Amino acid sequence: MSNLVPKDKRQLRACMICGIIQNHHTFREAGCPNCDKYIRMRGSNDMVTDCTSAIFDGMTALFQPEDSWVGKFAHLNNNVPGVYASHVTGRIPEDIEDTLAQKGFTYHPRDGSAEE
Amino acid sequence: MANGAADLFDDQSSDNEYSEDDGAKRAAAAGRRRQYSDDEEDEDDIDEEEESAGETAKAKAKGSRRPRKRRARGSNFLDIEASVDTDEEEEEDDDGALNDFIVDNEAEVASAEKDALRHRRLAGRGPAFGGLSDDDDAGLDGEEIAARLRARYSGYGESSGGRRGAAAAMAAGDGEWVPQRLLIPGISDPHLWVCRCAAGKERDIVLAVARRVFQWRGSGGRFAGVFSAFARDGVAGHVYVEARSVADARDAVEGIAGVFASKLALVGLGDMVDVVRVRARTPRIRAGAWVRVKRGKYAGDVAQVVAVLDAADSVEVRLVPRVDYDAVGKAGGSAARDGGRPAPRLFSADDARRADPRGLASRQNEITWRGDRFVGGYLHRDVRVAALELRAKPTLDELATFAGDDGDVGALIAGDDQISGVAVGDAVDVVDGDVAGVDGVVVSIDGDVVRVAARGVAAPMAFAPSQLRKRFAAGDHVQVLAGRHAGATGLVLVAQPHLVTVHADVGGAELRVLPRDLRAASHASAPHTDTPAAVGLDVNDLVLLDGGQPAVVMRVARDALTVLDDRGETRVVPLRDVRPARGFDRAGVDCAGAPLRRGDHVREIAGTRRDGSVLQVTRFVAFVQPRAAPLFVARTRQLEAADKRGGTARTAPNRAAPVRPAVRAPFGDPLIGRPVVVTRGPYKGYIGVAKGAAAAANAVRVELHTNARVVNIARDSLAVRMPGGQTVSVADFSSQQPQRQQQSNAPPSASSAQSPSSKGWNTPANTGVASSNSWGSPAPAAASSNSWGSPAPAPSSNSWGSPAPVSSSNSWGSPAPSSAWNAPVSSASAAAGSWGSPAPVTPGALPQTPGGPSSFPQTPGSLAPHDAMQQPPAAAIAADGFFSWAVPRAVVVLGPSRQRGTVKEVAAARLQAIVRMEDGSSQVIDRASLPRLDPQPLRAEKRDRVVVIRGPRKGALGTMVGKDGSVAFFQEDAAEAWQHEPIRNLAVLDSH
Repeated sequence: MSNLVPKDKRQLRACMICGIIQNHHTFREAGCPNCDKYIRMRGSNDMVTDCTSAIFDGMTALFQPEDSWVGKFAHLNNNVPGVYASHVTGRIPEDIEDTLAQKGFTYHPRDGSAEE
Repeated sequence: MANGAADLFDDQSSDNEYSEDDGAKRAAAAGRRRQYSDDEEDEDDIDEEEESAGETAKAKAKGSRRPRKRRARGSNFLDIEASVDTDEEEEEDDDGALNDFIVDNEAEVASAEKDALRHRRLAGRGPAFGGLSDDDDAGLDGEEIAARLRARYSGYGESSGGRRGAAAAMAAGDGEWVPQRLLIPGISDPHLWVCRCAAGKERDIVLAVARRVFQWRGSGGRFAGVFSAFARDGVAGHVYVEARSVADARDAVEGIAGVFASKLALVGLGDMVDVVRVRARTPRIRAGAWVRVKRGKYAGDVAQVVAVLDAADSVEVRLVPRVDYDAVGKAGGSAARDGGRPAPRLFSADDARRADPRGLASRQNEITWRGDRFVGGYLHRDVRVAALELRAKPTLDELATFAGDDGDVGALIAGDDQISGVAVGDAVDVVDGDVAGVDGVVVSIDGDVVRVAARGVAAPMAFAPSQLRKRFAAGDHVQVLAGRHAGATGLVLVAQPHLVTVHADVGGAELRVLPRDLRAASHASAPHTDTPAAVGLDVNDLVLLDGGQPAVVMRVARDALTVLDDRGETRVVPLRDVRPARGFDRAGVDCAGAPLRRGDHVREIAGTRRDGSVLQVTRFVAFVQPRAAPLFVARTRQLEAADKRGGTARTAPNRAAPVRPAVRAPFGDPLIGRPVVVTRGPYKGYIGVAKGAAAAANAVRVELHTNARVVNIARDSLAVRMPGGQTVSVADFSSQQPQRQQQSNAPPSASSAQSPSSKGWNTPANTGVASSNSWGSPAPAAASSNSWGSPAPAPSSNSWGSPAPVSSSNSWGSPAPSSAWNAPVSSASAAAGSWGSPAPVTPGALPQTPGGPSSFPQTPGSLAPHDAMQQPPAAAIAADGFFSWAVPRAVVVLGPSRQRGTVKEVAAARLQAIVRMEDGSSQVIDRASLPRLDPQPLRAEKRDRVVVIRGPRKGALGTMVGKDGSVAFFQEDAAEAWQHEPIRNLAVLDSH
């Protein structure tokens, strides 16, 4: 349970795909709990650097993703409970985006550019 | 087609259906793909060729939910959609899918019939469901229908259902991406509660809530009503909690440091989207922008962004290198060690080659030397954005340095598109965007939107500030707003796009100024020529800037002020960012602890030792106006009142005089830190602690115990409570003090050397005036400043200076005071005994003496004996034995008969406790009865309720589970694990 929340405020990074906020080392050691099934961040420092960003805005602790309106609004309701950013600056590199597309996943940037 | 059949049965329903058509469309659009995969599964004719395994799993997961929903209820609505969309499906779907669709017909017919049957059945059931398919809805509540429809079709209305949990297993594929505008909150969604909190702690609080909820959620259903908690960087001081009820929300945040949980407020449904979408306005960093480096060797230097790197959290900047070519040769020699850093200068390959030829490598136009990259003489570095100060405004001098000896400053400024510094009334050029080249006049500024009335265009047009540039022409009369020449006026000689040369009215010098630092002036510069009345602010007024920063107005313009802020920067700020500092606490304390007021004459204690009179003062900074120099700003701690140095004549004495009586108090006042009782007036009977001198003469600021308020109370209305409990009037108390003071050889506190007050109460000892007279009673002191000095007829200023050569902070540096420092302490402690009772605070109040000069002799050595002196005598220590551990509800045994009792109340400070005995009587334990009663904690046994009375866990409650020798195991309440604690640290808890 405790691994759902970042241990400290240093080196926090947000996943550019799902927005989850974790410590850098957590991404490196455990990967992204939502996105690791598409792209493997675990163990790969480069992937972590490419797919996460240290610049993000807002912090949402999501306890019941499927029932939370905040979670729905941020398109988080299919994700695991945890702490999420509302905007993540930066986009994943195109080759990773292609990889995602091949796996049937459309990448929606969380940098606010796709806002309706 | 099949759906035609469905429609036949559903003939009357159209109105309601179409009112919900939107919802149905949405569902259909989102689920279209899904729908087909369902059908494919039904047919066992699945075309999986292009589908990956993951996709299939996804489809299956969807399938588990979708068909039930569709077939059970809403398929006829969706079928309408399907028929409408057929054409487009034919185009985009391959034949297989189309075939499926057609082949599906029979199944569809069957299911449509089933649907129709169901409808009829429901209609027969009456109004409960009839509203959807019957005309017979007259008796039905409209809201109920609406609610039911919403619940049925909005797709997320029934949020509490566990069925959506299955959806969580589903991948967040493209089909799930519903546009946010369709995700407006409904009444069935949880509510949002906003909670005020300490600004800057928002993220910590969210994390704290998260830890708390995740930790407790599993056990006992606590926090089940809390769905999320969030903070937005753009909304300082607010945390939002999404919860079912205010009680749930409060439960989640209450008790977290920085949260003001008493101020929970509901966010209206209509505001929820706005709250969630708030976004901090982060300046977007672009190539060409100017930044400033925050830390390191280049701290404070301007740099220009060359490129924004991929992840957007770092940028490549170029800056003027600070390279010390000479230092390279020395072993590990660095300029930093010498305390300085090399001056910024463009990189010279020749110098580098001479210094370290092997470290030099070049590739195309890029030179690498000793690990650094240089392009065109500039050092290029990748820097994290966090280490940069964005939106820097380089001065012209900095730009000149940046451009190098023969560089073109204008070209550099061209990249500076961030700050144009336009104000209402400025003539501007539009330099960017569709209508670049147009010129006009600024009509209004609203945040980041500047409205410009362009020439020849009727309606004002809106621009971003970065699209505009101030426009000047030769011959314009202008005023310089900021920078080195701030305040000067002159005529424009040459107006280049990025550089204006101004012929100054005064002195006739040619000034080169950036356009952003200029504005059109209608008059020559002279002090106080602006008309400030309109804005209610005058020159020299104290104002507060945006972030509460104090500043002093230097010039007032139509819509902007030139201010000197507390960091000594001269800035032009728009009027809306400024508020007058009315009712602001205008008193500071100088390095000696003496109050600083406006008009006081002060001198810096370090640096160039500038002096002047205090124009404005706040708690921390003073704005000082020298006689013939520009206003400057200094920390009050870096100033000393200059009066006492024989310079009184320079300050108007009558102005400073009323302050004097208060001055005497700060550190010489023996009252400070003492518990006092008010003996007269509205606060009679209140107990408090004297905190310091009040502004009014002859008064003391007293912090009341009862509600921690600080009130001003006249000295003669106070009595001092002695540690023994008796009270002594202030006059008597004060008269005791000088003797001690004398014994203690006048501790060389800052005040004795530097403030007239302390001098005042030392002097009598020397001069033989009765000490109680000189400072015990304030009356003569208040009467005139002469009484400070001595009976000598000499002017007071002389009397200060002459007896004590200790005149300035210089004496601090010498070791002499520190030795004198030690001596009085020990003698004071000796005195303490003779004085009767342990004094928690010695009159010198040595540790309280504020910093002042850095060489202040606060060595541990000198403090140690002082601390020792504060220890209570032996009897008190014994008393402390009980009072150090006694906690309410602890069971103790008392007296020779070892009778049991329960501690009811403990006032450790007063050394009093009340124990309720088993027989119902109450026993007071105090200093007198303590030795006789000798209370001991009742030792706990297994299964006793216990309380920890000593050690780090003191106060914890729990149940004892066993012991091993002298170690007890107990289970703390609400904890699962057992703790162990020495058994003497536990006492039985009275559970009644």
